[in-house]
Amino acid sequence: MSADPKVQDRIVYDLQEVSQRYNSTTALDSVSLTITSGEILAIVGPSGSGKSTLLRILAGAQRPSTGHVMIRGRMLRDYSPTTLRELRAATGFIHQDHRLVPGLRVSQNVLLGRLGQSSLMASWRSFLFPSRSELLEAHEVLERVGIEEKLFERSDRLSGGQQQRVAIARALYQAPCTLLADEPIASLDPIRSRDILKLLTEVAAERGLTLVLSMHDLALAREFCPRLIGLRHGQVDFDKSSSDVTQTDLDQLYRLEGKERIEDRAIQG
Amino acid sequence: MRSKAELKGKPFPVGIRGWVLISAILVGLWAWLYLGLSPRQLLPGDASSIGRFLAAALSPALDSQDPGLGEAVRYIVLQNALHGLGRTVLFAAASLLLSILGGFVLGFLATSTWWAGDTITSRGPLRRLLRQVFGPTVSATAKILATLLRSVHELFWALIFLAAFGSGPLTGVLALALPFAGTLGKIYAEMLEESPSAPSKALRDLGATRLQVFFFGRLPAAFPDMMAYTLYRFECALRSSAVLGFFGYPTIGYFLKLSFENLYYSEVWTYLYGLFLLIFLVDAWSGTLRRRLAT
Repeated sequence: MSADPKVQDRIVYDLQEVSQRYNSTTALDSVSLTITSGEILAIVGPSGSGKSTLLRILAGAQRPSTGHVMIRGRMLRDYSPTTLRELRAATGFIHQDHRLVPGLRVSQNVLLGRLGQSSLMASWRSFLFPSRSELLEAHEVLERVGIEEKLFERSDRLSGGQQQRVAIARALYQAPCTLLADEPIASLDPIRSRDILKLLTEVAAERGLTLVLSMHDLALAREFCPRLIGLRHGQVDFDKSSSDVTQTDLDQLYRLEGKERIEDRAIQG
Repeated sequence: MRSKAELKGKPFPVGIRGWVLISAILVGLWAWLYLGLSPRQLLPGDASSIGRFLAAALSPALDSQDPGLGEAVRYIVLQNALHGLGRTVLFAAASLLLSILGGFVLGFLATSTWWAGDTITSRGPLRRLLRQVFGPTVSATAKILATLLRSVHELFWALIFLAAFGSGPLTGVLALALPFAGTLGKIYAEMLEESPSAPSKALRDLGATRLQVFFFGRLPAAFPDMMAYTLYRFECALRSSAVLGFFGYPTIGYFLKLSFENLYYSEVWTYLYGLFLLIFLVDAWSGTLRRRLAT
């Protein structure tokens, strides 16, 4: 499959035996995977399995200890500060805690999405005196996430779910090629989780974005993402299309062992 | 579990807070003894002078108590009070503007967090030098400068400037502005460093440069606190500006001192009442404003 030149061209991320160690702990252990343009996939796995580290590497926010990371046809280590800035500007990153700048209006937070594409002077101008077209564009992305009426509201006065929507709107305003979302629904209730996932996957499909999510909820991941990658102790446990993922795969992924199990027994006993 | 017998012999543990409190009280008491302080020293040598001063509180003067001037210039004390209070406010406002500028520059340079940048883009030897040597040096220098400026009280600055440049209004403004810039710089830097870093990291992830992260991530997050603190410093600047009058600058302190020296106590009380009123009004105004900023 990978011999097909068309597929080769469409590969956005190509990781070969990527490992990440922090002092004595291993966050990622020889991970290899490829992601093609326009794919929608979820990385699932228990806490501490290396999901966040993997996403940070894909975002160009971190270099792994060893292994090859190819992003858009260029090795991560070959990115210069300038091209790295371009890479980040083309990558939307949504966090579990929305990470909006407190005290700013929703419109300002959305317009900050293009910082990576503007000079300091230009960003001051758009921060203090947003043009009509910029505000219209901000309104448009807010409309897409369903809270356009909050355009001039203070960001920190919105609810958690609304703030997550603003974060998504900011990522859309950024007009990226890839959307990475690190546990975007971890702090939301089930109904809002479903809404946010629906929104993310729909938007990605509409705009042809590559979408990589990390999450805990397997049922939701299977429902919304055609491809699942199971991560366990920093290793790829499975990498299948959602329909092929079996109950055994999932049980394996979340089983407790060693010390974890002993603690588990102590709680039960 | 310790047995009761075991607990019996043990003294009650005092702890660090207890020791600090005890030693503070002991040092204070020792200082009183050393200075030979005694309440008897409050008994006035000239009881009638105190009596006259206190009695004057009930009859503040609007006209001059100077028999030569008398009623020749009507309401001269009231005019002086308004003029002096106006100048007090103007001196405070002019100095604070200068110290906000200075404090912001100092705070910006002293904020060490933004010099750090992120490791992935700071890999070349030059960038590493910038991140590990130049940045921390600038930050430490700015912090030391801020400390030096504010460790000298504004009254000392006023004495120095008077000796060097005479009593022009600019020297008075500078005397206030320098130590205030030091204080603001230190506090601004602390507020900027302690402002939540997650929003800044998110901006970094979408390609913002170091300066963009500072101006659009750190600064807005710390801005309400910085504003509230600056308002509080305006109250302090007013009090200092009033006292600056003792050195000849035309603030309320100048008139207060003159009337005091002439023993025109009713005039003194007019000026004091004016000052009380001004401070009270500004406190109330800035208090309300600060509460609104906090939400």
